[in-house]
Amino acid sequence: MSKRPPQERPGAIPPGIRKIHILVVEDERHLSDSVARRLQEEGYLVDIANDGEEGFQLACSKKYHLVVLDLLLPKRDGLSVLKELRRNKVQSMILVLTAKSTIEDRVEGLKAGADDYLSKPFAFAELIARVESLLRRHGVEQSPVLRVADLELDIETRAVRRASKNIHLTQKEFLLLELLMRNKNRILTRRTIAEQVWGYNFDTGTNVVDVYINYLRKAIDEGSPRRLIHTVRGVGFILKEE
Amino acid sequence: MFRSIRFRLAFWYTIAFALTFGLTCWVIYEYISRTLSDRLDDEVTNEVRWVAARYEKGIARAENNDTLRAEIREHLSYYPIKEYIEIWDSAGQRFYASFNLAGDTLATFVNFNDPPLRLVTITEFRDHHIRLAFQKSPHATVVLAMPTESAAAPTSQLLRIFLWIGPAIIIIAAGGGMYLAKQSFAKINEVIKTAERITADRLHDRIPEHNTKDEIGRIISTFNEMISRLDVSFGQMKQFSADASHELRTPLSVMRAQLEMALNGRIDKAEMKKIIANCLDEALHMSAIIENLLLLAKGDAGQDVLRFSPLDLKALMHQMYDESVIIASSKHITVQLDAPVSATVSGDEQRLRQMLLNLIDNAIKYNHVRGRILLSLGKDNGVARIVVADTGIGIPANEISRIFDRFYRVDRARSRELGGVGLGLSIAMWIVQSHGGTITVKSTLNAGAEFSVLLPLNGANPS
Repeated sequence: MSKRPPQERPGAIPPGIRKIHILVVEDERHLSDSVARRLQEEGYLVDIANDGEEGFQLACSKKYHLVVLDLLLPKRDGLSVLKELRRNKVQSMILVLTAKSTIEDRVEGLKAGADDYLSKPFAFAELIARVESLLRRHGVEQSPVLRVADLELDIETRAVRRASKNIHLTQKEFLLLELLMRNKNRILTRRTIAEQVWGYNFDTGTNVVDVYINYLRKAIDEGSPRRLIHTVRGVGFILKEE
Repeated sequence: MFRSIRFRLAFWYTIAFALTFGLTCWVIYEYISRTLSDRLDDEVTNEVRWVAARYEKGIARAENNDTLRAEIREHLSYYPIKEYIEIWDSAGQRFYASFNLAGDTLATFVNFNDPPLRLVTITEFRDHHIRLAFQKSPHATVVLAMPTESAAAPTSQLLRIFLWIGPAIIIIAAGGGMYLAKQSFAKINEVIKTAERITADRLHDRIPEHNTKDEIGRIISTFNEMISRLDVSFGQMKQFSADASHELRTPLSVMRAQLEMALNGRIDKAEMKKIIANCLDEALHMSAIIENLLLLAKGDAGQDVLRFSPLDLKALMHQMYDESVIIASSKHITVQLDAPVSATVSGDEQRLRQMLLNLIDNAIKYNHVRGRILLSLGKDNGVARIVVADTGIGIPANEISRIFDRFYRVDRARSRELGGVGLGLSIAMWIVQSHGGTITVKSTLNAGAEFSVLLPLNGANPS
């Protein structure tokens, strides 16, 4: 790793000064803009490149902790950019984005030196989770603890505390809470939750998401003066401090 | 076991062989036994006639009875086969009896009122069968018999031989039949094993070809050709569905990202409008892809989606010219039309218009600003020739064979910028081919491309 930022606690740091640099290489401007914007909202410093050549040149500066790289790019395709970067000993983590999703494509991308793989179309929630997990795995992102108000969730030890009181959660409840906390102050639709926690879209008739949200409310909010999990009528759910 | 063709083949082969063999044996047996019994009958008849004649001659010459008896005995003693003989004179006295008769008589077997010459088989004479003949002559009745063994012995021996050899030969034939069937079916089993191994994912397997001249060899090569064709079309299908999902994923990911941002981002009204417009664009792009895919799928499925009627291409070309002038004006491209003749074809006007529009759209998209496009219509040899030529970037020589492939684009990224779906030329080709025509392309890199469409004129036979 080229840089290791000072030990800072993400929960305590206001957005924009985390000093983690991310490069987004994606030719579809609407997509690259949205991704960059979302990453900036998470407090990362983001640059955009709209073709393979530009992406390669920027990535060679070695100032990026992480490169989000599309594979189908004008001027120079993503796979060759990836290989060339690894040959030039660029150590940045590389998260490959692509509309191809066969196993062969994944294997090819990972063999060429990608650290992770995300197929289009993807949820921002998943992109953010993958980015954070990559950064943590490589010691860039330091704390594995997510915090909202007096609620704490440790991704590594799987411990959950509300007002210093330990809370026991099942596997699915934990995943659901992690998703809500990572996307605090953001509305998540039922389908997004289903896709991210259960791995697929339920038929619209199922209320499994509502059922689990209720379990979680009982575990997290019951007996606490401040409710954190809120329903957004007709849309989905949101976790926020009032 | 009986289900296996191999066993059935051997079984029926053996049955057929056994029947043929049995029939042959029976014919031989019948023929020989008849010949032998006929010969016996001839001998018996000749003998009885000779004896009767000799007796009559003796009577006529008034020979001494003992001399006559001695002569008859002497004659008979030359004959190798044991014979029994009795001569009864007209007075009803036994004139002569061969001494091998000892005390027996043949007279009991004879009805003296029967016609003058008669042959009968007697079965109960001294434990054996005899063939008996009697002859009435003016002065005597001669009764003569020979044992049938002389005729029957060879035939029963033959029968014994057949009964011993027959089963042995049939067993050998059955074994041979099984072996032959096994030999031919060994190869078929190989075909079956390979066929079982071949699945949609393993279509590269082929059955080893030994001898392509016999029936099995032909089955194998036919089978291999079929697998090759399946391999190719499966490959195309896989590629096509991978491409189709890829093409749809890109607009979907843009829509998803933008909509998530709209739901949660801190965005103002102007930005929101922009996002909605973008998403609408992407939705329209996806609609175009899906519509084109459906059209091609219908064409692939052979559903009748074309409505043919007589159509003058000259009028169509003029309409297309008017439309293309407007579209091309944004890039300041000059369009020329050269359609001096009428050319009537049997065609679907809407589809032909779409085909031309696809070609013209490409000619504009891949043209330079202030480039030129030439549309022309001509006739020769029973076909109408439409040419759409441009002065654009052209097609690299190594890509030219693939440009009609679905979703194939020389420069994907650039094509997406231009809003291309990658199906225009595939659809144009499908439309031309379902009109019985052909479409070809010539191109020089950086100088332009020229698409030629040949359609059979009305009255000419579309193939």
